[in-house]
Amino acid sequence: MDDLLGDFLAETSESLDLVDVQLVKFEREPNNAEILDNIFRLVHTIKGTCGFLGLPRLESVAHAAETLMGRFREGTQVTEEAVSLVLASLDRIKEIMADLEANQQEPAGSDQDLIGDLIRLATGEGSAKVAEPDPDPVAVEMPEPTRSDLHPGEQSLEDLDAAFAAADSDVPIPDPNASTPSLVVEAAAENASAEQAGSRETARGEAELDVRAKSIRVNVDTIEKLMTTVSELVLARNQLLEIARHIEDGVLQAPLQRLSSVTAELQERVMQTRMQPIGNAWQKLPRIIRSLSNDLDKKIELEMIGADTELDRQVLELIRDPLTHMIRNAADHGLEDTKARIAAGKSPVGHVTLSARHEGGHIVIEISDDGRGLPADKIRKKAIERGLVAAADAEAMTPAQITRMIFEPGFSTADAVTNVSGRGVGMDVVRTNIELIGGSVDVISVEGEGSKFTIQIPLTLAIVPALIIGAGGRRYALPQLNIIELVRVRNGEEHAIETVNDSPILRLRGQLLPLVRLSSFFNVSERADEDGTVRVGGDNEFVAVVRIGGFDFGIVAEAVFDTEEIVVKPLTGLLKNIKAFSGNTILGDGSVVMIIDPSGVAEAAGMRAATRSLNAAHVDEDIDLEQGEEMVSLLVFRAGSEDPRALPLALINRLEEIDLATIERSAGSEVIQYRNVLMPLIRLDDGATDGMKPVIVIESDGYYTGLVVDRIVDVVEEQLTIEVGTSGSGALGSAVISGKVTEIIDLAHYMPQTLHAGTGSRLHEHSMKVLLVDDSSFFRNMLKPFLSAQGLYVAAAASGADALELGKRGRHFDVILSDIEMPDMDGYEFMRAIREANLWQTSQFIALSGHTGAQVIERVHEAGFGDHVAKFDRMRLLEILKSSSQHMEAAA
Amino acid sequence: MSTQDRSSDVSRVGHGGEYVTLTIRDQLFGLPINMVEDVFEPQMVTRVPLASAEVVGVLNLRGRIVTVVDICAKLGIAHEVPDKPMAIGLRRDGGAFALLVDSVGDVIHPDEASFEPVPSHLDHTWRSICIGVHQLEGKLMMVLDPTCLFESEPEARVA
Repeated sequence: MDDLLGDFLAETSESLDLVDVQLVKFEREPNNAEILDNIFRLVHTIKGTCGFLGLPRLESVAHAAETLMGRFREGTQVTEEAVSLVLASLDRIKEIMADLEANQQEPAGSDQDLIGDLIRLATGEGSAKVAEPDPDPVAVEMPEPTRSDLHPGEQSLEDLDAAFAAADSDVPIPDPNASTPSLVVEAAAENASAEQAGSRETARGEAELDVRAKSIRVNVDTIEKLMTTVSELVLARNQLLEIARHIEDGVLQAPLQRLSSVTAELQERVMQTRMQPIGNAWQKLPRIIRSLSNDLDKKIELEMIGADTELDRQVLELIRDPLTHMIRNAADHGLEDTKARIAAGKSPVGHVTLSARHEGGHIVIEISDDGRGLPADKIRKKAIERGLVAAADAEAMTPAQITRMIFEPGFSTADAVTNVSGRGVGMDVVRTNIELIGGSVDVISVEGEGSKFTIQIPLTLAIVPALIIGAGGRRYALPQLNIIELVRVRNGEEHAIETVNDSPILRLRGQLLPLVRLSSFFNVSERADEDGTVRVGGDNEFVAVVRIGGFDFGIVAEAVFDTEEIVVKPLTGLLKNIKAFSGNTILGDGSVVMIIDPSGVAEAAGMRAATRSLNAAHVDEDIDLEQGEEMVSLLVFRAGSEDPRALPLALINRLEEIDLATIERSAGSEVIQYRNVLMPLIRLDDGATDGMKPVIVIESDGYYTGLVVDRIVDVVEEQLTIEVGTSGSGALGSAVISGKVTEIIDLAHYMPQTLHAGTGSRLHEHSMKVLLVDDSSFFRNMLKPFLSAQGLYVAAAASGADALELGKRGRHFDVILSDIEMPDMDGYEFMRAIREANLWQTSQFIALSGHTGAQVIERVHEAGFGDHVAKFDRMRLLEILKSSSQHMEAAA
Repeated sequence: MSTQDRSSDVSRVGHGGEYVTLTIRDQLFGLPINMVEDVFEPQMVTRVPLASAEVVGVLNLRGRIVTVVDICAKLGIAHEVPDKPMAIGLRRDGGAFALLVDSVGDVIHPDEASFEPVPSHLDHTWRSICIGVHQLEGKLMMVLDPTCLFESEPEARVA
């Protein structure tokens, strides 16, 4: 009986999880008969097995739930109440099962409340074929039950069986008399149970015969032990290989080769048995989202992508809780309530997307929502309050770095503890749990747009490739999963370790990489003499650049030996709390080495948050910008000094060369005759009076302006990261171009027509929602902060298609700013598509372009744009926005 | 399963029964034999940086990684480890441990009646690792209770 019960419990809890998922799905698609059949079959199986094993409480609850579902099959309207009730019954079943597992018997207690409700719903709605029976088993008209086999929910079994029979015609209809309440005797009850068990067998039988023949249930322990044994085998093989390396005789080679490949295959196969689809860890999520949706009064849609992605079951177990926590967070804190969503111009239904995919040796899981995003200012404030970061440091941090503060211990985002999340476990616990298994977690968030958490975890924890390094005369293993590159450093050469206040630092491609020198970190240099000479801070070291959660740092070692597939063995009690190590392993030569845990080292060395990733794309905060490194064409020139300056090529109409002697003066400005008009000149050059000088011609509103410079240096394509400078200085900021710090010219500062434009006055507080559509991240980066600073709500899209997608999702914008020259879909096409889709009918459209010739302006107006502005002319753009804001208010 | 139960359950250690004798700093100790899994010569010990003082290091014992512990270091007592020390392997649920000792002697079976609680005037450091004394002919054998070694410091991490 014990074995049977064990099997039953395992099988049933699997079925229950399935039913959970199916029910939530069913609620959304109440007409999907297939789902209903699935649920019905699952519940029926549970009920049947309970009857077979003599578990009356379980059976009656399952039975009553089944009855209600039978009604659905007959076409009764599926109500939320009914689904909730069925879910509640499933919970009850789980409770009883938990007890059953612990005590080997059903707990005492009554389920009358639940069963009563279930029956009321089942009979209340449908045609009253059966007179409502008294659900009380000790009612007068019924004989006193002799044993607990009397099922309070059984009264409507005929209906159920009829329904069941209708669905599965191969199931014989049991004699209704066998289960009518008037015939409650032991024999009848047993008969019913037996029949249910029988029908269960039939129902399962044909459908699952194939599956059952091909799969068997194996105890997890057995697989674990198998895995351990294989691990030992791998170690033994490694040892053999090591020995064979020193033996000249080739007689060992062939069999060893064979052993090696067989071992590898065996290892892979055993690993496979441990693999499970990640969907197993997701099964409870739809149900959680559903109840959250009810509790919080939010409409939430959960999309799950890649549920069949497989990973090691050990990893699966370990990420289950963090994932659940993050999904809860996304629904609770991430998504706004329906009202706020509508007010923000979003669709009332909030979306939470969970996806998984393989990428290299990792599984990448993404959890994104289209909610309010992480409030950088609030996080910054809180981080300072909690003493996680100094106020001065916090000011210097980018929003992306700020948002990562949520992973710091002692940081909890919830202002108020809700019953949903905020149970005292914060994201730091999530991060810790994920990093414990060699994974990493990162977040990008855009306020008002949503956030996306990315979790990267290894496929398996058991065997990992590692680099064997030497420090302080000892060897350590460094998992390769975390290593992004290896740099050899030597004094006086290109890469040399420098120190600032005794902290070692490496300059790598223009970025500062904080370093941890293992020998000093481990404090082992003084013991090194016993193992040989060690040169701490010597002239020949290696830096392993590792990345954890978007944060890069270097681990300095004195030697790099080999790479080896190591079998990770967990640390035992006394060593468990050394954060710098994640485990230990036996190498091919039989010696034990410690496995370095880079995240633990970083933490222990006190390096976090203050530094950023080497890869600039990682700090990119805009979700809509993440399509990678975009190149911007720039004209680099020298003017006034030897420092290079640059201007985006897109803004330039043409390049001319003029004879300085032909410059004339008109109304106090220097002008030159150009294409039959007078072109005002702006002198950026050294101010010479004769000779030839290049002129950069800018066209705006049909007028030309010339920038006189000293020398055109080059046209380069660069991935631009502008460090924004102070405004009004004539420079937008500076960027590193071709390895040199280059000033990016702010055209608006020089253009004459901007001189009279009022500056400093902010737009009205009723912030307009502006959508900026531009394929160039340079302009998005330039305009978005500028407009935001004016008190506007700005969303950015990288293409017309992206923008249309926002429109189709129901996002409203008062003003749409669109670039004209875009690949795939240009501004005119974009406008046409908007009209066709009947989107944004009340919005105002403003075209942006680098060139503003009369022809362009005409075409722009024809296409339906209300206005047209030169890209760099921010003041004019502001004026237009101001007038439309006033217009808007007048209309309101 | 049953062997592990037997060796890991220290509370079941009686006062009689067989003991493996060992010496540390010339003091005779006894370990209940059901706690002992191995007696071996520690070789190729890998030191573990940042570990607590009593951890001598880790080694590979027939494919298993064993943590070698010096009980003196735990107690803060100076311990001159001899050139060829011995190790006594103990198995616990948490993993394999080995006690670093100066030498290992015979297995003895003292009379249960010779057992006495630890004398109260004994240094508290020794008292914390012993559960009693057996009065043998000519000398005293302290009965070692190595469980204190298995208790690591409280976890720094919030689980």
